[in-house]
Amino acid sequence: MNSDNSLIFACENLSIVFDERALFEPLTVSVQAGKVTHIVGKNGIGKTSLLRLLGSEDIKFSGSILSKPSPAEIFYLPQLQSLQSHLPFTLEEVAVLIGNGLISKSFIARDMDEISKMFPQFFSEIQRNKVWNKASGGERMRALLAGAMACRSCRVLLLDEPLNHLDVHSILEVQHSLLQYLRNEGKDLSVFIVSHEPLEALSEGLGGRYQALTLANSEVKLRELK
Amino acid sequence: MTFFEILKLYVWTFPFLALSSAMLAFCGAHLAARERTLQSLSISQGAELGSIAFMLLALILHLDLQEVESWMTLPAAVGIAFLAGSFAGKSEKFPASSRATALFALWIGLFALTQVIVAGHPALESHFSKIAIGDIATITSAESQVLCLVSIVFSLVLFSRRWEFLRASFSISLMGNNGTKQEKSNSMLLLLIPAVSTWSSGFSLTCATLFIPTTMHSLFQKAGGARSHIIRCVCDGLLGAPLGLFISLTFFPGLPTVSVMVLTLLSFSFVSARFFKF
Repeated sequence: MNSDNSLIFACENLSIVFDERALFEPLTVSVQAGKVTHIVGKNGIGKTSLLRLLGSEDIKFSGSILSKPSPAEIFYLPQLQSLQSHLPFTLEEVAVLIGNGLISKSFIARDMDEISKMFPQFFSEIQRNKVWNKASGGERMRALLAGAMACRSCRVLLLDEPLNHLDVHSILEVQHSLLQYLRNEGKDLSVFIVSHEPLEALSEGLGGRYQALTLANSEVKLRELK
Repeated sequence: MTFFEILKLYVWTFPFLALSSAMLAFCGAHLAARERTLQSLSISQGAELGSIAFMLLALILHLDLQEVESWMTLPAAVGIAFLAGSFAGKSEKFPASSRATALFALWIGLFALTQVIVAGHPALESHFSKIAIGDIATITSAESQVLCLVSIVFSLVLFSRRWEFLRASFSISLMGNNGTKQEKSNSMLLLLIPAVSTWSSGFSLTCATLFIPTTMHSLFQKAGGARSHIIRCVCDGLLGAPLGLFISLTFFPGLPTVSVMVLTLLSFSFVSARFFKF
């Protein structure tokens, strides 16, 4: 579906359909590869559904999609439903499990050390062995992001509410880690982020690479920072 | 009985018990992580119900219960367990706050139904007691050999898929994601093993081996991650349950075997979780 390599997503009059009703005004937009797109809008407008549609999930929509990445190129990090787990996952285990998916077991075993070395901005020695249940929101999100970055075939990162449940300090911390990665190793990575929080650190740090896509009943707006 | 006499008499029971308990402890850790504890309780109760219902059917058909081979009840046990599991699966659609209550209601309903069937014929009392409490010491050598073989097959499958189980448990517990078809088949396996174990070793021992090790390590484990937790649970199952049988036969032959085994497993898991670090 993706004919133009520099175009990561393009659609015409696209809307998510729920109960035979379009959730937001038809969206016509083209997103270039390497852009960081912040999807904003009020609750229930269809932000997560749009993200899942991008992630090739079976979501009902109207309009047409002209270009979108293949499932193999996408890494989708869904919203956290629970902050506690019965099993005491360490942050390192979380990163490895997220990053490897169901790829071969030997890869997982080898990479226990590798991921934390590859992404020092997400991990410190002390954090690696911290148990998920006892980690702060910021530490948890950085472990998830480290795992997502480790997915080597990934060209597009879809993040659903990554800053939920985080305090102000952690929100900034996570944005700075992500920013550092996007400026260095992740220069070509395209990111779609659904978030209610303003992404000030990202928008200021990325300049023209950052854009905000506002979904609303009355209007759909793609705003690019100059 | 001396140590060697016990070993000679239960030469196949010990390996079967060690393997099946290790497997159940593995399943229990994953089931608890996926919040499937009450679901597995209903499934085990379903297996008990199926087994007893088959016995009643045999009586209605004027078959001699002594001639009904125990393996004949397996399809009925697994079948009813599967039905109970399907009903329990419907609770996924309930709000999270009501799910545990709904599953408890299902379990108590299945329990009551089992009691009604047992009341249908006096000859069912002893079979009910065998499957509800378990009677591991009376399993024949031939039965133990077959069960040992079955346990080896199941263990190999679980071992080969251990990473998939871990990833699915993570994704289900924290992201509420039921995952791919393969993950669903893994979940089925996690629930099938307790059903077969209830049929072979009884409801009490199955539930104890499923959830005692993971509970103890969850409460007292000081270091290590999820992988370490699961390895510890498997070790507890592997050693704790056979140790319980040995203690029961050697020191407390007058006490109910399964109760002594459960208490030994409880103590063993506590000591292992509290004092051993690796």
